[in-house]
Amino acid sequence: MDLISGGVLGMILHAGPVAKAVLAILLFFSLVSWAIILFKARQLGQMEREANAVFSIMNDVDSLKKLTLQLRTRRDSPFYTIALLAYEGSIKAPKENPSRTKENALEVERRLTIAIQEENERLEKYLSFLATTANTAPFVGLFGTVWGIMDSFREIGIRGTTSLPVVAPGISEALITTAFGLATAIPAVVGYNYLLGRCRRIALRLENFATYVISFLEK
Amino acid sequence: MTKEDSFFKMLILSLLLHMAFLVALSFPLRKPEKKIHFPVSYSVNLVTSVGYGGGEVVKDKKSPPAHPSVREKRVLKVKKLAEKETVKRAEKERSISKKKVEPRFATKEELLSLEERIREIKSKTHYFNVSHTESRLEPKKDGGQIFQVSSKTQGGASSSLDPITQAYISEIWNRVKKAWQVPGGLANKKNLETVVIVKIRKDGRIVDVEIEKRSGNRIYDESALRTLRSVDPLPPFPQSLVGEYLEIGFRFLPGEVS
Repeated sequence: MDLISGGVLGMILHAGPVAKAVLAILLFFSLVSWAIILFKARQLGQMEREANAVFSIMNDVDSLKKLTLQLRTRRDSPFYTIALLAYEGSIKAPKENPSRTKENALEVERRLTIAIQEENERLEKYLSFLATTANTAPFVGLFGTVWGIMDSFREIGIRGTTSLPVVAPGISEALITTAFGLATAIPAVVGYNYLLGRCRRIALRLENFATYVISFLEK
Repeated sequence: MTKEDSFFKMLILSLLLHMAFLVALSFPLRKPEKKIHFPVSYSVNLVTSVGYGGGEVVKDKKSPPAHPSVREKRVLKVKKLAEKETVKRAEKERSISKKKVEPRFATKEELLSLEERIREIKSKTHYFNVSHTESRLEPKKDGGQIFQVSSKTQGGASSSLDPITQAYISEIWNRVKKAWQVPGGLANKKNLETVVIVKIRKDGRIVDVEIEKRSGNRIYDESALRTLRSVDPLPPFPQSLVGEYLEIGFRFLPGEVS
């Protein structure tokens, strides 16, 4: 007890019920948003490694069939899904009629677009929680502070004294919720922007890959 | 590895991260505690009253020490005792002659005489310990229990609290009670208690303040000390009050303050 009393933890323990509730909410937000940041960073890292591998294979391959076969080891990868969709389309395509070939290519392209969008959606899943945290956490913290200062002023009114030793601790305690709100929001903002950037880059590579695959169909 | 599995792993990792963060937070705002460092070479200030007649300085450069290890132990003992003496009774404030004992030059005989003196001091301590009974002043029953006062007279022969001392203490108690302001937000906390020992000189100045029990809340402790600082100087001792110093213990409880 004596050990923690001097630090911020002691202030938390002495805070009122509203401040404690606010801090609990912020803790929940912070926990989940950090979990999302770590989880997404790992997932996106995996995707990037996959993309690098696929792009290095891509230049050595001269047909869609070979490419699909090469990617068979990565069954969960969206690159494989795209290549497979295109390959299925190419099998269906009638060889003798060039106008139908173009139509078929368009059809495959639509399907690929859907696949890419689905993949994008999967990549950006949970990121919205980070955005929510980044936007709301400072306000939640501010609510705790406003409530605490309200309390302090009421106490000043009751006691009829405005001496600093009476007023300052209450306000100091009230401000701690804002501090924690910011401490929750800042990593969420940074993580959101960083991860969203990476998501966009991966999506771009998926699109490039799809374009490349379709170019096989049009040959 | 499934996706959900991985997410929960990250959740646990995040939990650990937060715990580490909170633990780290609890340290940096603390003030460094004052530490008492004991010097390696001991120089001992033995304090005796003039009445004991032993005013000479024990110092002999001619004879080398006979048993260094034994000597050091003894000196350590002497030192501890001497400290105990000074802390407990603040004897230095009495009529004093200071003596310096350089352990390096002490001979056996001198050590013997030292021990004798220690015994003397010991017996005296016993006497004082017995005579200084603690008494408690019950706080007034009006505005809630705020302090409990215990007092110890120093240097005087009186063992129980005479009415003069009692009146003086209650006056001081009233002053401190008036000055005591519970810091905001802490007034409703029931488990806070700070015990402070105050040493008051004859002229009413507070010469020593010592926290005997910390409440666990730094702001609360500081406000107790601030209260005592604000009442300094206190009224001087009434003429009939015997003794140079008065030690009073205050117990600060967050009661209702009028």
